[in-house]
Amino acid sequence: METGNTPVTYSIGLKLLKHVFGMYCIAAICITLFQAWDDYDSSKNRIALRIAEQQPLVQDGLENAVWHLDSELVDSLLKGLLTQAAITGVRVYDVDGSVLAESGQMPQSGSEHRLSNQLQHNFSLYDPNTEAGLSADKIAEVVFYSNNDVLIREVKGSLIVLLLAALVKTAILWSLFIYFGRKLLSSPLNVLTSKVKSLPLDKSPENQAVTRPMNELEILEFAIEEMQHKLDETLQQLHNANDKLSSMNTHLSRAVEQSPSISAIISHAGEIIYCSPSFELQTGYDKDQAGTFFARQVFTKFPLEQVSRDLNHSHPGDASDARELQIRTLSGTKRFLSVTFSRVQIGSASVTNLLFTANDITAIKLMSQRLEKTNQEQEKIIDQLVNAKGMLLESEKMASLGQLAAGVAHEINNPIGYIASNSSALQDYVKELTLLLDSYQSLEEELSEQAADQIRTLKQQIDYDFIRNDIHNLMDDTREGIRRITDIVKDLLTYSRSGEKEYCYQDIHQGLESTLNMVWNELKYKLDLKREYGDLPEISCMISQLNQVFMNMLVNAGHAVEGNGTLVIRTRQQGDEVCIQFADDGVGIEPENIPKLFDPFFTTKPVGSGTGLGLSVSAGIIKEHNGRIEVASTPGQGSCFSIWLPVHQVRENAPPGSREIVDEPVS
Amino acid sequence: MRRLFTPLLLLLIAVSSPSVAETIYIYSYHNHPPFVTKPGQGLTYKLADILRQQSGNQFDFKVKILPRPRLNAKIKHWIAGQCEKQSCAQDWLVPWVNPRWGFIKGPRDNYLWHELYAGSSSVLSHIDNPVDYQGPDSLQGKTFAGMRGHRYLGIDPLVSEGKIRRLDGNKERDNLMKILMKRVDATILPTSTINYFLRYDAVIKAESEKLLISDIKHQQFSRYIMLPETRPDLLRLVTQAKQSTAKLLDAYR
Repeated sequence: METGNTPVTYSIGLKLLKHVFGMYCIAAICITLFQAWDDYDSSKNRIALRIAEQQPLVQDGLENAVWHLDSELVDSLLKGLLTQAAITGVRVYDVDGSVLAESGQMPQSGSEHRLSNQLQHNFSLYDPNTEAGLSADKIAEVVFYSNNDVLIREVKGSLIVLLLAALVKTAILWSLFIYFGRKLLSSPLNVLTSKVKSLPLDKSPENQAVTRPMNELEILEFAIEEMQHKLDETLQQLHNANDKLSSMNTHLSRAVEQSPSISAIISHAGEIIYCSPSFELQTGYDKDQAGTFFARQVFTKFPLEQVSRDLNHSHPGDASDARELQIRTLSGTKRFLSVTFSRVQIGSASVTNLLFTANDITAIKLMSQRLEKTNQEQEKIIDQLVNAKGMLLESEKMASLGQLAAGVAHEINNPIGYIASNSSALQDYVKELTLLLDSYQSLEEELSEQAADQIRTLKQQIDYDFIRNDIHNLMDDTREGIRRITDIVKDLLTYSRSGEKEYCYQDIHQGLESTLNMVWNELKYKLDLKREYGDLPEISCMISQLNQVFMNMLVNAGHAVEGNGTLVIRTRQQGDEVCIQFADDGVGIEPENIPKLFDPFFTTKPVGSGTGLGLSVSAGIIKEHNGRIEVASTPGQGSCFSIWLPVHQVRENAPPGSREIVDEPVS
Repeated sequence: MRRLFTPLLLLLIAVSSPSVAETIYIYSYHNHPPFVTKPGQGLTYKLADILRQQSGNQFDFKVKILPRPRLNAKIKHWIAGQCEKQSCAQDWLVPWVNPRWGFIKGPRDNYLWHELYAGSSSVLSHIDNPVDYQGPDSLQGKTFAGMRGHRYLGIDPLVSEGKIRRLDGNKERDNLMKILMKRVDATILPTSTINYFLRYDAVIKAESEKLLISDIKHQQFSRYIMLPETRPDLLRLVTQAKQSTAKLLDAYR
């Protein structure tokens, strides 16, 4: 059967309407009749009241007229009363019951009694001349009559309105019932029927042909019967599927229970809903202690609120990143777990519970720690290699520089030697020539005037007097310059000692002075130098390398001072060691930087200003000399580098306790 | 002994209690002076007192002032002469009336009559507008002040013919004042009433000179006490009180 809209004639709404409307009509008629009766009764009371209201208006006049039995006046008053629409007749009875006067329409005998309570009004007339204080004699009884015509006239309008209202209400109810019956009953039933028919239940039987007309409920009933049949079959299928699922569920449960991974389901409130058996195995805590375990060892690191919040923003199926958690088992053993949280979502509801999954990674972690330690050692070795490479490079560089300096010094040394020698002879010659010129000058007066003039002119031209005085100065300056060049070359030769690879006893003070000469030009505008030299023996060393150390110390001191400062160089001997101290009053070194001072490439200077190798190379040289370097520094007050060097060097392969002195100084 | 005590006590009370006086109603439609001068005062009330005294409290006379039609209604069976067949009230008397004044409509006079005095009715007019009354025709073309419900012998036909204009009032004094205020030309009042006003009403007394009382009376008549013919005892009582009554009437005539 088609499940489209049911025709209105078969609609359940119409059927319902017939029943409901029938009941409604009975109720409406009863209510309308009740309202009409109530209206009728109210109108009757109203008319009775209106009739009664006329009494005080005419009572005195009527009383007088009746007292005087003035029939004309009585008739006149009665006619006046009849002008009131509500009064249709008036009758005046004598005390003996006889009619004294009447006017208007009188009720039929018999009906008078029926209407006596509602549509008539009685009152008595008394002797108007009765003296005060005495009871008045009744002289007549007056009756005002009304009739049903007045009453009908009174209620006619409201009855018509009442009937019209009932008709309109009925029509509206009919329309609304049909409309809402279709909308709220028929249409939903049709839709429900369609949905029932279209339920995706397999093996649906062929639609049975329906020949008789049906309303929506019957169609629905028919569809439900079909659905019931389908459901029976589907239920059987579900039973089968359920058996399979149960079996699968058992396998899954066993898998979870026997898995080494810890699985726990935790509510948002932190309640542990489920714990896999592996939890007890891994942690030593039983399931009753799981709440305590999670509260103390899990949620302290991964707050539950944070985890829940993060997961609420994730997609279903997403899990948090695996995070490492160190726990302590009940027996006190440390274990490392790899922990993930994921959401347990049922249907479309928000995250209801959390799934905690953890794997024991203690073995991996220990291996990782060992690897890390190995790595650190390797990195240290690499650093040392890099250091060594740097020192090597620096050494090579300095060696090259030393060779170059030595070569240049050697080349300059010979010419400077004969320049110095020749200048000494030249100075002597100039002195002697000066004596000779002085002798010639004393003889000028004896020359002819002309010759004398030529000589005087020549003297004037060459400014003889100036030359005569300046030539000695020039010679002195030249001699001084040659001396200084000789010193520099000598210092260069002393500094470089090209190819020096062997220890020999050298004067440390000479090395210091040589180095100072090299760099003083750069430092003299910044530093005041104070030498506090003690008595030092010559020590076994490679002086050119120590000079490099001294140069680094001096240059660093220059850099440490902002503006002008003071550098104090102290030397002293202490036992078999000598100490060379460089103390400046510069900016000092931050305490945290002191341990890294001798690391290669460590520098606090701006990028490009320092290589970070100076102190590292120096430390390497000092170490090579079996010495040590110490640093004391206060930020803002200055630094003090102390270099300790042994006076004698010991052969590396000499047995302990039999120090063999190498290169004993010649005393 | 106890059983006899209560009946004996009741009997003793009944014997020793005074006899109850019969109430006799004095019906009167004369509600004007001198018959009624104020509520509870006037000739009628004094007459009731005299008769009560005369009866030695055997009768209790109660005055009932009522309109003539109502009086007629009260004694309508007596008027119709039907009281032989029907049981009619007999506890009444009517003073100041005349047998010719419409109380006998039946085949016979079924009353007892006791004459009180000879009275009359006079025509009154203003001195400035005097009416020389010679008879009802003298009032033709005049405005006449009558009493509501009264019939005026010889005048009513002229009123019906339109020859006299009649304006009715409710009280005799009102009509008298209408004369003084010249609102009407003439009125007719009992002579005793006129005399009472001239004697005791300060306003009218002050204006008495402005009133012209006709020498020729409109009517002359005797005033009687009318009693049911079944009450000779009452007639006897009235007769016995004649002297006292006469003395009273002299004071108002």
